Amino acid sequence: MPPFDRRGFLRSTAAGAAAGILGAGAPRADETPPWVGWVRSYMKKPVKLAITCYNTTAPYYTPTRIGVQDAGAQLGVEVLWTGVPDGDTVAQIAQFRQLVATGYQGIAVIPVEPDAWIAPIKHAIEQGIVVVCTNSDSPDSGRELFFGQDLVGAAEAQGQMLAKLAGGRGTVAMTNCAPGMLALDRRIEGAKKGVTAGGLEIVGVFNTDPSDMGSDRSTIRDIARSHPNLTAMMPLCGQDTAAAGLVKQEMKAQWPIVGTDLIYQTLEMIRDGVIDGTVGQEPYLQGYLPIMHLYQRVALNGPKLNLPGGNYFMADEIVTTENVAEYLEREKRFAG
Amino acid sequence: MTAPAERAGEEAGRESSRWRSCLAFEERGIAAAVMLFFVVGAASSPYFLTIDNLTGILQSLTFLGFLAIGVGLTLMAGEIDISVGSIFGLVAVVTALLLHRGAPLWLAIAGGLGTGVGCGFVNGAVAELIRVPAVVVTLATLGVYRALALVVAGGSPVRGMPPLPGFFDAFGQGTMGGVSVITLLFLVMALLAELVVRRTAFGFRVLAVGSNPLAAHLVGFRVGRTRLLLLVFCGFMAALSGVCSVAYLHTAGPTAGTGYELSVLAAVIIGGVRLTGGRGSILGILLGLAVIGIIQNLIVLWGIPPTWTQGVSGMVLIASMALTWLSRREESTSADRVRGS
Repeated sequence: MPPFDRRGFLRSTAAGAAAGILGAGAPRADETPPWVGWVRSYMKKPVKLAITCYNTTAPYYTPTRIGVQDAGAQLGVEVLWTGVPDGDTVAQIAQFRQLVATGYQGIAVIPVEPDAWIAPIKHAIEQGIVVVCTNSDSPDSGRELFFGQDLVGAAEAQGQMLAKLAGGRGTVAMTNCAPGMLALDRRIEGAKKGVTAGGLEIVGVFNTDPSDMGSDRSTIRDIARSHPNLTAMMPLCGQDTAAAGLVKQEMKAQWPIVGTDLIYQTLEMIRDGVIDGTVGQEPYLQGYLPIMHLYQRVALNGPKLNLPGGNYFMADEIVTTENVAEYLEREKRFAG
Repeated sequence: MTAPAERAGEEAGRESSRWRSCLAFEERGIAAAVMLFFVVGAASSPYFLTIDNLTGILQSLTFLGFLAIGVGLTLMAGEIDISVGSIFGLVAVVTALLLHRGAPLWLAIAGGLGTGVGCGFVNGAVAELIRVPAVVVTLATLGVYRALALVVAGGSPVRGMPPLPGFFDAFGQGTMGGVSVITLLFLVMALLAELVVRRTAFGFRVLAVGSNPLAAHLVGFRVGRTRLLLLVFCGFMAALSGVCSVAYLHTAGPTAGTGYELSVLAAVIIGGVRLTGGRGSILGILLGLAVIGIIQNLIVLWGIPPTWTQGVSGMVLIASMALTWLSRREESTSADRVRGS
């Protein structure tokens, strides 16, 4: 057996790593649809689209990312899914500015702090880049469109449904996994309207940490223990909804839960009768539609959509035990 | 050793020291890493060398950079401040809230900077009073300052601020020669800090305290006071960064700066500052920051999926440190050879 050559091994490992890293940036030889060549013939350069997300590791955004990838594959264009894993707005904006400086013609943004995005988005638009927001909005930034839910209306319906299940009296606790995010502020506004109209008293809106299921469960358990007379639970984020279901099982609690989003664990708990319902906001389309729109605007010179408030609202998907089977089938692809 | 050999040895030593002083810093390994990444970046993307992209890299490093100057100087004196990210967030919230409630600009800035200096003073005073390393104290205050930021801001970002005064807005959004004004301020602060480290008695004292605190004490340096001053300075730099972030973002979140301490420490250590103190330079720290900035930029340019970014960053940082280590080893081997001859 030849002796182990440490230097040689290190050299070849380093060379392999460098080739791997460089290879990641090389264009892939995918099969391209015929219209890609046609678009290139008059655009003179490849279409480059990107989407930047404030929390790339959140399970909620798995279908959104897949929607982005599907749209890119169908169109035969390079679509970059990027962002930061931790909600660091400074880093996300720095990355956005790099996208602007490096030839991306259309960018979709999932922002967390709307005011912070006003100047960067305005600057990008001045550079001729088409910018849209998706899932969460920065309405004063001049973005072309917002793809998302009518969050006030959806949460109001969610609140009324919960109040009905709770018998129209008692107390309700709400959770917020992204304090300060405009989407959550709007959802809380609607939720408060809905439960109050339905006769429930709100004991509080409690902040949770969606990146850590353990911490999420602990917070919800603490809320339940400190409010023994609670009659309803209203989690306003996807991860919180699943966590609330687990706590309800663990504590053998009786309060109804009507939560948010279509996380697979939530759907399974609806099927099992632990969670009473949830309101989805079509996260797949929140990735798919912005890319399709950006492509039309950038590559096909499509017109701006003149929608009220620049809002392209998704449908509210209300899931209960009656229709959960259909959603369990549809969302299986994103279950991980 | 014969006289000609001695002369040759002295000549070689002088040559080597001329080369080092020509480079003006010891961190040749990290400089090589920066150059390597530059070449790789330029070869792999047509956008890398554009002015917009390069100024974008500088901009992306600015807020971390302010923090790195403070943390770097403190580490040179043998202490570590890991509460800087929380001070950054707290100061940003205090400044934004003061502006939100109609305070004049000077008061908001003074309030923010004062908060940072106060936090730094608390860190230093507690470390001195109960005689524990600053890393332990700041591990505790990291949580305390973050909690204060959350309490003061009511748990959510400060939104709906009135239009910022013209000067402050121009400071936050403006550019000079394509480079952001905040970045220029950071570069000026870095230059001043470098001059302090290299050219002043205080800089010498910082390195002496970090190198051997007992010896520094015996020659009459006030070790405790030096460290206290540095922790206050560290708080000030975090505060400056926080105030600048309000001018840049027009908002402030109580969780802003979470995790910055690790990125800052990475830049400082890659930049050649010894964890045990006594050695380092601001130029090295700038190069450490540059490595981090270029990696993050290349990750975007290469389209590496976000799931891989932290792993790729980590691997490239290890490679940078390996280059630094190789350079140091080479340096010590050359020195041994000169001594031997």
